[in-house]
Parts: sequence; structure tokens; C-alpha cells
Amino acid sequence: MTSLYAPSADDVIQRLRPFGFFFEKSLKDLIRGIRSHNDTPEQLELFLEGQLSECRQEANSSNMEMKTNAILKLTYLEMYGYDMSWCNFHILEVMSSNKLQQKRVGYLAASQSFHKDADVLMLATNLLKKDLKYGGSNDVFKVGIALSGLSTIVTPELAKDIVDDLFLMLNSSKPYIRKKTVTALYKVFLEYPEALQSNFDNFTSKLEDPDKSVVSATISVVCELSKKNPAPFIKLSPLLYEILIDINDNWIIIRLLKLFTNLSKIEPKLKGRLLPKIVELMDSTNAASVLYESVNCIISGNMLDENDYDVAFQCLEILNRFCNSQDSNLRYISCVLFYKIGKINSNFISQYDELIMKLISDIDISIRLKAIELIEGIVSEDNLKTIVSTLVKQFVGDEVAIIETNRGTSKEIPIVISDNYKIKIVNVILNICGMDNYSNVDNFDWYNAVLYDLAIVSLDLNEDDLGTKIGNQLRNLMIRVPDMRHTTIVNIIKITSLDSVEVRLPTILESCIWSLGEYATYLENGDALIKLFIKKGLHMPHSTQDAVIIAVVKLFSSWCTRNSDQIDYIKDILEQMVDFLTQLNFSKSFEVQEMSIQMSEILKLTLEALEEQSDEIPLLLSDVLPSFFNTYELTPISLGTQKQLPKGIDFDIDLPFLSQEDLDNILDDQETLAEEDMDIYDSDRFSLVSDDKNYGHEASYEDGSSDESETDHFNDTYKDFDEEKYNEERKKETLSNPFYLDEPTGDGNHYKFSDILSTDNEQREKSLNAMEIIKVNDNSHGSQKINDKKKKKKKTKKVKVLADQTIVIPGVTEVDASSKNNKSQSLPNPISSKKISLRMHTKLEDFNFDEQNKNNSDEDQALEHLRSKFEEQDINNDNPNTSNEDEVIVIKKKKKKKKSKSKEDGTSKKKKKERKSKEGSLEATPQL
Amino acid sequence: MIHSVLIFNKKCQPRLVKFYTPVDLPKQKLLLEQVYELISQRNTDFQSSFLVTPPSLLDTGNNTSNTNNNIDDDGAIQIIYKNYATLYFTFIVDEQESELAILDLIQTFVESLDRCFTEVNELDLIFNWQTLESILEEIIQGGMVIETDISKIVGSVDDLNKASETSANTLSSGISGALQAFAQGGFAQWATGQ
Repeated sequence: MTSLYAPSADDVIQRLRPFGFFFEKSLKDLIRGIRSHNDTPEQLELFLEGQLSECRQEANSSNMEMKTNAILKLTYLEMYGYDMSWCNFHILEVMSSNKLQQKRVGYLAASQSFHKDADVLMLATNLLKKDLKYGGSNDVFKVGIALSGLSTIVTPELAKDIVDDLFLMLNSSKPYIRKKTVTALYKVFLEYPEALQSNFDNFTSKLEDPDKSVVSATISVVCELSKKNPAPFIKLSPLLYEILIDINDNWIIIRLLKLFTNLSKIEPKLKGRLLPKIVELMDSTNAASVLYESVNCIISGNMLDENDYDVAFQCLEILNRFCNSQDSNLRYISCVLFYKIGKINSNFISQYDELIMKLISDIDISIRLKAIELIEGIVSEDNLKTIVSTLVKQFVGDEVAIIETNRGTSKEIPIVISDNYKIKIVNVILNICGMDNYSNVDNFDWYNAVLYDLAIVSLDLNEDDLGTKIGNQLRNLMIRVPDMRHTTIVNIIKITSLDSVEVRLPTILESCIWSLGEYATYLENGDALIKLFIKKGLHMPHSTQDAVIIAVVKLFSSWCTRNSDQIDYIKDILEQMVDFLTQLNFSKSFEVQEMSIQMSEILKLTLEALEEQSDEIPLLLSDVLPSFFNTYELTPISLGTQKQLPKGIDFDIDLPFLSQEDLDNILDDQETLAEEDMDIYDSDRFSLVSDDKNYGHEASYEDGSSDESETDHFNDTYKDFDEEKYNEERKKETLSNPFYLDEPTGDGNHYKFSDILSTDNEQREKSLNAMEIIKVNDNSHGSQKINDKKKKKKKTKKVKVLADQTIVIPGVTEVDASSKNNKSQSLPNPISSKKISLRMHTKLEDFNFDEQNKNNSDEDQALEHLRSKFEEQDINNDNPNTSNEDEVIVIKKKKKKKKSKSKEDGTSKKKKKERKSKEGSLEATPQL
Repeated sequence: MIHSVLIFNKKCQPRLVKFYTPVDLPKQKLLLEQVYELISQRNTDFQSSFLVTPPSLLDTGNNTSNTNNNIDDDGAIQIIYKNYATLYFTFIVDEQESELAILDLIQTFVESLDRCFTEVNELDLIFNWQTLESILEEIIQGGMVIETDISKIVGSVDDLNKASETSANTLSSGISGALQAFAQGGFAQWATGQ
């Protein structure tokens, strides 16, 4: 090839060479240059750029030595991030050199830069084919170099072209070539799985190669292949088992264990043979790595059932030993396995609480990170406080690691607690405290204090997620733990008024503000909060503003009823609120806009009413506004309830919800209650308001109607006109004493009230049945009235925690609930990590090795599917009818499969023996 | 399999960058920097050899096309490193490699280097990058471990070097017997002669 650049320069070099002149720099010179220009990145870059352009010229040279040298330097420079794919054709030239030294350089460069260049690979194919053939005696190395280079650059096309040459090499007399060929075949199979299908026996015969390195390489390849597609390798199990028994090389044993892990994942029958052998191995070996991999194989290979306590404890004892060792590596990997065992059955690890407590204070933070994931498995009511206080103390971060140095002295190294770890701690604490509806928390004062501490810590962590989570916990406490609301609300106010919380942890505010609004009746000085929110509200994020708008109105409504005598002050606050809400009317967020317009209009009406009448608060303020918020109490509803709502309920919009008579009754009622106020009130407006109210009922009837609270709502409505004898009393209750006002003296009333409600229950149910819209299932406890539940719970537990309510609607299956229960029993999955681009999708993964017996494999899949389904049901064991049905199907399928298996036996004589043993094991296992 | 082998010093200067799975050059560089960043925060005196891969690192690559594999929590990439004097030897591997076996392998690698250079130090590796490459080539091929026996590793490197040298000198003629003769102990001469 002639150079593109000034051929004369080349001539000059050629002419000068004999006199000992060398213009080109060697790799050594380049490295030296890099070292002397390493003061600043800019300087280095400048130098490297210069070198690159030199290399560019040299690579174009027709002198092979110079070219090779340039390629070598470019390969080195790739380490510094300089692309060399532009010289792929030059690399190809160097690769095709007859000199082994140059060929090596060429293949090394090719392995780094050829993978994305299809054109040059096409040209390289012939060269590769040539290099893979033995010509002279020196060719062992030539072939070796080619095989090494080939292993990183295989494309589907190249794989197809080269595979036959590789299979020839497989029978080479040199073990060195055989092991390299086996390894090179791995990449070929990934791209061209048909080759493996047609040469399966030829390839797997290398498992019995006389040379150990070849066997090791073959096992490695089979192991990797089986990760992508385990099915075809199941039939190798007997052979692999033999190798496992005979071999005494730890490296190969580890690879075999990995391989069996892959196979056992899809073939549960392997467990019967393998498990005893692995247990035996665990007893006999001294190598930590083999012990560890044995345990790993048992766990990851699905060989450990949730009831195998013996095996589990044998594994755990080994892990326990590792966890107590001085070697941080052993501690780390054992933690990971502990976690996996815990996932199978959290009872396995529950007795290792001391060990885990020790691990969460390990001097290695990365071990702590793994260990805290284990906490969920050991936490109980007794140790929760200890665990949390251990973890919270770590936030302070003044720990030191004491290291014994060689000279016998010890030095102290501060342990750096990363923010990442702190975030994890906060998450874990929230998880373990909130587990199973706070079943581990016995003291909610303590938990409030913990939440406060966590909020303070989270201020510095700059992680929005934490704010949301802590906020949710606070809101949950408010809703679920009625007895503690006084304490919790104080805590919430404390957190909300933390210095700069709206800047450093804004996400916590939404739930806090909502809670303050919803439970405003617990607050004396709502006006102060209103002022605070008005001051800060304009600069909050939209989602928080949403909460602020409603909260402010709720606070106001509740505060007014308490301080109804301070008319002027009320007016002042009201004006400020209207002003605040009007400013939000032009918010960029649609939600905020809508909400603020709605609220500001209502408040404007109220303000008008207030101005018309200056000695008393108007009815709009004393009754109507509270009725927006206080009509019923919110209760926790289980996840997925809304999804179960039947769609398309028919109802008659034209049918008046209240008859004229009822309406009059109510109006009369209102009149007597409001007494002299009525005169001042424009009757038109009043009827308008009560119309609104009725409309509100109807609307909720339309959109929800299965919500527990909605049924309450119905209940209210019905009472309003069905049971007039309670009517007056009830009305008074609601007006003077809002539904959930938790006054010390209110308890008695509350109970009386709940009695009324429970007698109502039957009534309500009847009427509801009659309407055939909603039926509250009596069987499920969740659908009982809250008040009933309160009464029941009060007897058993000091602090009651409301559980999620499930509402069962006939005809809608309750799938969500059962699967949710399952989940809560075992540890949740850790945060699933996204993978780096290292993982590639290859053809092998989807390749079907049994194409010729397609039916059979389909049946296999069906069997597999049914098996998993059956297992699932076995665990749930909730519906005997359906599982019976499935059992029938499974048995039928199994018979079919057996038949086809025996048919196959007839055709392939070669595998007869092996199959027979397999069938034996099949018969030995009882029908699932 | 082994996805990558990175050797760099305490100033994040690369000494060897080897990828067995194709990764774009800018991403290679980013990965090296992030791995360095993580390792340099650690204290090898008492911390384990395993990096907890944080999301920031994993996000450097494209998300995989087959997301159904992501549910498997053992499908994670592990970064395993060992510190020798001024150098960090880092292996990026998937779940098919045993963690402890990889640690042994790093040890094997370093011992092989030590045998080739006698008392290996960073300077040796800086100026003999190609030797480093060829030793690694005899241990790992295309991401798979092909040899763990130190004497076999050093032996094949020696053989290859002898063959290269003779072929360079005699311009590829029949030199069959000569090769075998050079097989033993020839490496040290070659390495120092570079």
C-alpha cells in the first residue's frame, strides 16, 4: 500500500535508516513523554494530540515495522480515550503480517477496535480463516493469537463463517489450542447458536478431555451458556455430577457449582441428587471459597425450601462463621447470602439477631449497607428500639476504626459515613417501624421522637424521597393512631416550623400540611398557622400549594367555630386568606389554579356574609364550611380498593335525592337551630346552599360509592330523613361537636354515638341491599364500621392502630389483597439495580434448541407454567376449589409428557441409558 | 464472565484498560473515573474488596434491552478490586464469577507478573504495558478464565515471546525444534531486553 502522504518523506526515512536515524518514537518513548508532560491535563492532552498526529503519519507508512509501531502506540493511547477505529485497515495490514511479533500487535489492536466495524471484519474473515489453519510448525502460536483476538470481535456473520474452522481446531493435539478454541467458541455460540445445536456432542465431549485446563475452560463456557439458556444442558447433569465427584481442583468445583446453580433453577429434580453431595462437600472442604459457593449454590439454585430448616441452619452456621471472621471480604459476601436465605423464609435468620446487630456496626460501611437490609428479617417489638437507636447513633458519625499496624501499634481511622448510607438508614428505620401496620412499635411517643430526629437528619441529605416518606409516616400516624393525635400534631407543627424546611426538605410539607388541615380541630391557635402558611405558601412547590389551599380553609373553618366571638379578627384573617388565594388564581399549575379559585370564591361569599352581619358569625361560616370537611372521618383504605369498583353503575340523575317533604324538614330543622339568624338570611341563598349540599351527596354517590366513608355518607343522608327521632340529636351533635372532635369528655358521647351508628348499620344495609348498589360484606372485618372496630380494639391494646379497610364488592375477586399478604411475609426485594451496558442481549437467549421436537418443548413450557402456578396456589392455599381443578390438569399433562418421553427413547438409542435414569427419578417423585 | 479489567494507580492514571464486552470509549473513561472515585474513598486496610455499585455508576451504560432480566437481583455487576502498593487491580464481573475466585485470580495475575518481572513494581508495568497485556491474555480470553496455573501462564507467555523473537529474526522459516528449547526460563531475558 502506498502512503497517501508525501511519499518523498517516506523515501527520506528509508534513506536515513541505514545511518541509524530513527524518526519514529517507540512505545517506550511515548510513555516517557506522557510521564514528563503529566503536570496538567491540558499539557498532557497537547502532547498526546501531537503524538497522535505522528502516529497517524507513521500508520500510513509503507514500512511495516513503522506501521506496527504506530499501531502499538495507538493501541496504548486508546487507554487515554483516543479512538483508533480510523486505522482499522492499517491494523488489518499488520494482522496479516507474516512476522509473529507484528501479528500479535495487530490482533491486540483488532480486539480493541474491530467490534463495531462490520466492513473491516468482512475483510478480516479470510485472514482469520487462514490464521486458524496449521501451516508450519510455528503455527501453534499463530493460531493461539488468532483465537485470542477472535474472542472479542465475533459478530453474527463472522461466527457463521468461522465456526467450522474452530471445530477443526477443537481436535488439535495441543491442549493450549483446544482450551483457547473452546473459549473462542463461547462468543461464536452466543451469536450463532445453531452451531451449538448441530455440534452439541462434539463440543461437550471436551468435558472429558484429558487435559484439566481444557475441561476447566469447557465447564466455564457451559456455565456461561447455561446462564443464557439452561435448557439444553440439563442432559449433561449426570456427566457434570461425575466430574464434581472426581475432581479436586477448587477452581473447577466452583465453576461446577455455578453451573449447577443455573441448571437447578429450571430443573427442580436435580436437587435430589445434588443437595446431599453439596452438603457432603461442605463438610469435607477447608477452602472458604468452596464453602461459600456451596452455600450460594444451595440458595441461588432454589434448592432450599422454606421448610428445610436443617440445611438452612447448616448453611447459616457457615455464614455465621464467615461473618465473625477477620476477613472483611468474607463478612461482606456472607451478608449477601444471609439476605437471600432470609428472603426464602425470614424465620431462618430471626435467631441471628445478635450477629446482625454486630454487622450493622461493622467497621466496613459497605458491610453495614448489606447488613441493614437484613434488619427487616430480625426486627421484633423487643429489639426495635435497640436497633433504631444503634442506627440513629451512626448519624453522628464520630466513629473510628482501630487498625493494628505491623509494628504492633494501633492507629485510629475515622469511619466516613456517606450520605448514601444515611439515606439508606432513614429508609430502613421507616420500613421497620412501619412494618405490618406498626406492629413492632409499642410506644408512639418514642416513634414521634424518632420521626422528628429523622426529619432533622434528612434536612442535610438532599434527597426528596425521604421527605415524602417521613411525611407519609406522620400522616399515617395521624390517621391510624387516633389516641396519639395530640402528640403527633405537635410533632408535625414542630417539623413544619423547622428552620428552612421549605428549602431543604420541601417534600415533607405536603403530608404535614394536609394533616394539620385535616385535624385542625385539635388545634387551638389555627390562626397562627394560617398566617404562617399564607406567608410561606406563595413560594412553595405546586403540589404543596395544593395541600396548603385546602389546609388553610380547613384550619380557618375549625378555628372560627372555636373563636366565634372575635368577629373583627376573623374578618381580618378571612381577608388575608382571600388575598392569598386570589394570588394563586393565576398559578401555572392547573390544580392549584382550580383549587384556589374554588376556595377563594367560597371565602368571598363568606366574607360578604360576614360584612352584612357583624355581631355573630354567619351560618355559612359556622355550619356550611365545616360541613365540607367534617361530615365523616377518613379511614385508611387498603391498596387497590378503588380498582375493584364496579364500572358503570346506573342511577337516575333526575330522581331527587330528597323529596320536597324531607327538604322542608331539614330546612325547619336548620331554622330551629339557627334560630334568630334565619331572619337575616336571604331564604334564596339558603336553599341554594342546601341544594349544593344535596348535590354534593349525589355527586359522591356517583363517583365513589364503595368507599367506606361514602357509605357513612349515605348513612348520614338516610338518617336525615329516615329516622327522625334521632334526627335532632344527631344534628346537634354534628353542629356543635364535629364528628371526630376528640375531646376528653367527648368519649362518652362518642360511644353513645357509635351505638347509634351500629344500630343504624342493619338499617343501612337493608336499604342498601334494596338499592342493590353496594353490599358491604359482613364476613370481612375490614368493612365493619370504624366505631365498632374502635370498641373492639380498645379492649385488647392500649394504643390502637387502625388497619387498612378492605371493602369487598360481590363479583369482584380479591386478588390484590392476597398477593399483598404474601409479600409482606418475606423480605421485600432490594432496590432493583439497573445494569451497566455490559450486559448484552444475544441470540442464544431466545434460541430454541429443541426445534425438531417443538411440541415436546411446548409441553415442557406448559408443564413448567402449570407447575409454577400450582406452587403459587399451594402457598396461598386460599381457594381449594381452583387448586383442585389445576391439579387435574397437571396430572394429565404429566402423563402426556411421559408418553412422549418414552417415544423419544425409542428413537434415540444413544441416550437411552441416561434417559432411563432420568425417567426413574421422574417416577420416584410423587405426582408433584 | 469478566467484563473488564482495569489497572490504575492512586492518581487515576490508567495502566491497563481491557474490556471484553464492547463499551464506547467515552464510557470506558467515565467508568474508570467513577470506579476510581469510589475506590479512592475506601480504606483498603479494613474494607472489603467489593464495591457497592451505586446507581450513578450503573447509569453510565445504556439500559439493557431485555428488562425482564432486571428482576433478578443476582444479575448484578460486581466490581472487585485489590490494592497492591500504588496500584489498584479492578475486575468488573457478572454473577457467573465467584467473588472469592476472582480475588484468587487477581492474586494469580499479580504473582504471575511478579514471576515475570521479579519484584514487580508500578514502573515495570508502566514501561512494559505490552507484557502486561500478554500475561493477561494467557489468563483471560474474551472474558473467560482460561488458565489459573501460574507456571503454565508464565510458560505460555515465554513460549509466545520466543516464537515472536525467532520469527522476527529468521523471517519465518522452519524453526520448530528451537521453540521447545526456549520454552523454559526464557521470559525474564525477553522482558528485561525490551
